[in-house]
Amino acid sequence: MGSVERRALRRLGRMPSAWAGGLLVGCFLAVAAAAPALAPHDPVRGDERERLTPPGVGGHPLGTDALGNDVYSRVLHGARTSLAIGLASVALAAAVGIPLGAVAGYAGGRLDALLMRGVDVLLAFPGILLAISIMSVLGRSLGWLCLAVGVVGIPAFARQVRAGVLAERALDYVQAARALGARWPRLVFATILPNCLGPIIVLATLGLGSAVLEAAGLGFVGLGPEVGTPEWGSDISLNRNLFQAAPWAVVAPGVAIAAAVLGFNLLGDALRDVLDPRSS
Amino acid sequence: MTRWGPGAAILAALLAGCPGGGGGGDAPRVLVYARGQDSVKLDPADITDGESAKVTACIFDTLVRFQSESTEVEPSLATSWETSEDGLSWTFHLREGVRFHDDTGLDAEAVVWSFRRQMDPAHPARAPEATFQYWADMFGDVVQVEALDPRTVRFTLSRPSAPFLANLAMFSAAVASPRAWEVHGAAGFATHPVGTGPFRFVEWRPGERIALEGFAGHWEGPPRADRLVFKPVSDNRVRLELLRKGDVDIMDGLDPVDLAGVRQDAGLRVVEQPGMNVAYLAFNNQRPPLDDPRVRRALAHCIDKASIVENLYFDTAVPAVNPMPPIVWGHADDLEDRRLDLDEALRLLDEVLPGRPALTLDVMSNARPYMPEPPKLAIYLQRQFEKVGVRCEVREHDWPSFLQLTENGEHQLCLMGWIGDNGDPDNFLHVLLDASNARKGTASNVSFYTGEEVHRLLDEARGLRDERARAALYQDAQRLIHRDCPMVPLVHATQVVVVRKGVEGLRLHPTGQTRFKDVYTVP
Repeated sequence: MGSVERRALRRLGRMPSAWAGGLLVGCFLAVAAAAPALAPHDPVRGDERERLTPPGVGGHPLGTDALGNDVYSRVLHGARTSLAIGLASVALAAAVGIPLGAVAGYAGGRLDALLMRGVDVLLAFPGILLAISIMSVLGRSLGWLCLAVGVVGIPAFARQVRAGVLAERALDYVQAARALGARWPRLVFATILPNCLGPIIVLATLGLGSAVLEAAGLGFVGLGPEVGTPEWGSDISLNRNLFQAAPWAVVAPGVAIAAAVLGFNLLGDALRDVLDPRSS
Repeated sequence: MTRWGPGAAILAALLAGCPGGGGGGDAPRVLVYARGQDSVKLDPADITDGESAKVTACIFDTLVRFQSESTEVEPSLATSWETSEDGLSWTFHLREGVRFHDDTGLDAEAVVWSFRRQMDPAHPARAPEATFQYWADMFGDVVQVEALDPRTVRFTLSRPSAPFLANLAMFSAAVASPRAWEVHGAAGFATHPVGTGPFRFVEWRPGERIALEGFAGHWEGPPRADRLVFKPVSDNRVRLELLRKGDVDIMDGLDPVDLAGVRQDAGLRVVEQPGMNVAYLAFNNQRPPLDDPRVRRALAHCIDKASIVENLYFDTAVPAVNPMPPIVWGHADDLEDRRLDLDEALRLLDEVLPGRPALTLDVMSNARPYMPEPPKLAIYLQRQFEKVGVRCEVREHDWPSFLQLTENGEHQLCLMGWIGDNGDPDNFLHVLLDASNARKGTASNVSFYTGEEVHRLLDEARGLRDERARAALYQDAQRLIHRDCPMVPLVHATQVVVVRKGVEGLRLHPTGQTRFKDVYTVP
């Protein structure tokens, strides 16, 4: 670890928002990883005769939902679903967006124009609308959901990386590497890209937050993962007509969404202050 | 949100009269009925939806009608009728002194005109956009309608049809005033209906209200309410709040989960009636592994109908044993239902399907009168099947795509339902399980069940006139259906309407058509 990174970490440690965000994200990751061990009940195999049990009764810390499933267990397992969607979709967005932006930024000219117009087309649709159209065509499933949320995230990565590469490619060290005979793939991916990593990390962190939110939104409108899968948005949707009779079944997943998104946003903002001072 | 604006509230208040003027004073007695949707149109012969029929049934009478709490037929505009030996000719004798709302008299010509406009595509009084779908579905066997004299009408059929009389009691067989056509024209009739019914049409503001007025000249005497207003309010909760505030008198479409609260509310009263419907789980009998009756029986053994009624319908349904409800005559009361028995299900499955293939269950995402929350019911079934090792993927669809998919037979399992039209067993068993209705693309038999014996029994029962003999055939058919288990009848949903305290005389009819004539309010 170089001195620059060490200094960045030290600055991060002095920011309260980083601590708060880190704590929330840490909890989220821990819960997602250990959900089966932490959950007191099976999230899908409840007994409908125990439906709408209030919190704290009958071994259900957050009560049960309309089908008698334990709300606490479903929220824990929902974190798993959300994390899976978040990681997969951000990975997809990065895997497509980063090379796209890097090549466009380095090549310039017509190729740049062509690639970036493609990105502009994606960007022209409001994100959630694009995801809804993709899901309506493909049908509900966890895999397609990751794809839909991932596609929405591509333009942000592409544009961020292109801007970074454009700024770097004229610098002396790049010229020096080229003078030494490095070919373009090596120049782009081994020489330039590592120096654009800061903003990408920021983007990925913030992207995880918005992916969790988008997935929940899609789940709420009935375009989430397979029916029955514990997922925060779908759970709110399924129980929303019971809000007066059993508010816990709606409030618990709602709070979970809010906490996870807040965590990623706080952490992402703090990281931006440290890693990408220009844009803040 | 609802379109119920302040204007409508003021109007309702005006219509309701001054609250202090009770005790049989001069204030008009107004009934406001709040429902989920507006009518589509008000030509009784050219509608297919319940929200339109609810209104036209107040404005029009039919030759015969259903008794107030059953689907037995009783005289209405016709006082008596006879049928020929071969069952091909039906003669009806009309009631004396019946007047239309436009003060023309009812005679045989008006009756003939009302039916001919439906059966004759070249009839002058036929709007170009009219489809008269119910005529084709229910009266396709009628070849001639004629007036023998001013008080006598004769129908001629191409073949004997047992349900014919009951079909004549349906909303689409209404007798309309020919003069209204001359006044309003073909296109205007659907918005200016004129009949002989207990209520006269006043005005229709689409999306806002339909106002009717009591018809003093009705042959049974005037109705007890002076005005009857139908008001569309789309949100179930908002409708309930309006009822609580007293802005409306009657509402339908209550969320079952709200029922307990409504029962405790001293200002409200719940009116219930067993529904003439069935909600069922259809197996696609032509797709493996569901072509094996043992697999279908095993899955049926996984379902606890009592628990479904209690926990998913909040007790607003009764468990179903047969594809038609017990209130329909010919119901096989003696059949014993398959019980929840996971051991038996496991035994059957291990015999046929040691390696369990995954199944798919298609379901509509919207509420239906027989199924308030289809996705929850689907998740329940998914959970039950998993207990015997059968993984089942639930797929949700909007209503039109769901209908298309199931009519085409693209499903393995699906959740479906049916609402009876005329109280005849044929209207359930033939529609849902006859081989002739299992054609891909237009199937109403979405189980794609083609049992030969059942088909023969249903066909034979259609041609008979003796109700006793028909009932015996239908009971035999239900026994065979139960044996083959082409589908699992789940529940018959109860119709629920909530009224404000002080609204009396409201009875729900099995067909969903309420008779508002005897409904009144006491202060």
